[in-house]
Formats: sequence, C-alpha cells, structure tokens
Amino acid sequence: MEITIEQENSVRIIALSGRLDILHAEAFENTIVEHIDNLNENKMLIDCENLSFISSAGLRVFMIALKKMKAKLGKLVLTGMNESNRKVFQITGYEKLFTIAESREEGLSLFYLS
Amino acid sequence: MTETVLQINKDPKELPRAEQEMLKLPFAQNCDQETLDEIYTILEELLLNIINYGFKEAPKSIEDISVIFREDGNTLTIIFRDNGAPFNPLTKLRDENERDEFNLEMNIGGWGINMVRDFSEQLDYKREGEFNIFTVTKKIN
Repeated sequence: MEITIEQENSVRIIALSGRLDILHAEAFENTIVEHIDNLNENKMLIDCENLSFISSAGLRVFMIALKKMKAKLGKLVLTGMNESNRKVFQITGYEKLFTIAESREEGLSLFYLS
Repeated sequence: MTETVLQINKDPKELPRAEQEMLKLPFAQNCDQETLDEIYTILEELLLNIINYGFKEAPKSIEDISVIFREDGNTLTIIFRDNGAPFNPLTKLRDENERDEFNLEMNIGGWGINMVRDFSEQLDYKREGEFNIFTVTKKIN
C-alpha cells in the first residue's frame, strides 16, 4: 500500500492506494496519527480512490482517525471509495459515522461550506 | 469435491502466505475479486482471533493452526482448527441494535466477526478434544 501526503489550502490530504490489510494497517495508523497530531487547522481528507481493499484491521484505523479528529473538534472526510469498500463501511455501520463524499473535489468543498 | 489443508504459524505475517496459497486453489480461479476479498477478510479476522486470543490463554501450548478449504460445487467450506485455549468467536458477535455510534466508537475492531457473518452463509463452532474447530460456509460464484 502507498500513502501520499498532500496539502490543499487548509486541508491535509492522505491519499491511499493498494490494499489496506493487516500488514499495512500499522504503517497507516502511524502515519495518520502523526499527521492528526500535527494538524494546524484540523481538516483532513482521506482519498480512497485508489484503495482497492480494506480489511477489518484497516477499518479499525479509520475509526482511530475519526476519534482523534473528533477529540480535536476537527473535520474528517473520506472520498472516492469503490463499491466493495463502501460495502464494508455499510455492513459495519461505519457509514453512519463518517462523512463520505464521492470525489476529492466534492470532499474538499465540504470543508468550505461552513 | 476438493480439499486443501494449509498449516499456519502463530504469526500475523503468515496472512499473506495464507492468501497466496488460497489464490492458487481451484475455486479462486473462478471467483470475482469481491468474493476473493470477502474470503480474505474471513481469513484475516479468524486467524487473528486465533493468534491474538486463542493462544493468549495458553502460550506454551503446542502451536498448531490449520485452515482447510473444501470446495464442493458452488459451496466453499473453510475450517479453522487450532489447539489454543477454548475460544468461540461467535461469543463476540454483537447485536445489531448495539451498532450505534457509541458502541462503534468504543469497540474499535470489535465488529470483525460480524463482518465474517455478513460475508458467509453459516458459521459453526465446536471444541473437539484440545482443538477449536470453527467452520465457515460460503457460497462462491
């Protein structure tokens, strides 16, 4: 799995590609926690457009990120999920907890609405 | 009917090998990617359960984890067999009514066995002598 970090105005973007399984969950967790701890504006977008698969171990990291962002009164948006990843979020109920946008552009716009 | 047995060491790093071996099996040649991902999720969740819980209570026990893939028509049966401490993953199944925001956030990772249930047709557990036997039945395309 590859993790790419970008910054667009005040939003930190974490772009994921490949498979997020048990082998890559720890690296993802370390990266995401480090970036959340160092955010200036508490705005983060995780772009999943090129993420082909999320296992339960990977899903756990998304929840850690959400809890940390909530604790900082920040905003976290997920974008670009494929059908099977969306299904995983649906059946676990995580879909109800996360703000999920279809595309990066739509996701970014959510940061500037309010 | 075809049957293949994989021996797994007590190490999460075995998961990629288990997946690679699984992908070589006859059923995997005819499955779509979504089905293969669901089977991998089942493998990961149940093997991690065995490694993280099943051996925690009896760390000095003889380490012995087997995964048996049995293909019969469009039915795949996956049998997880280990000699760790008695552990029934079905006791970790959570009621759907508990799937609210509070419980989802408080029990990070605690919904994995629900994913296994959602990805399969039937789950069974039994303790046979010193072995946990957990059986997953899944329809494949």
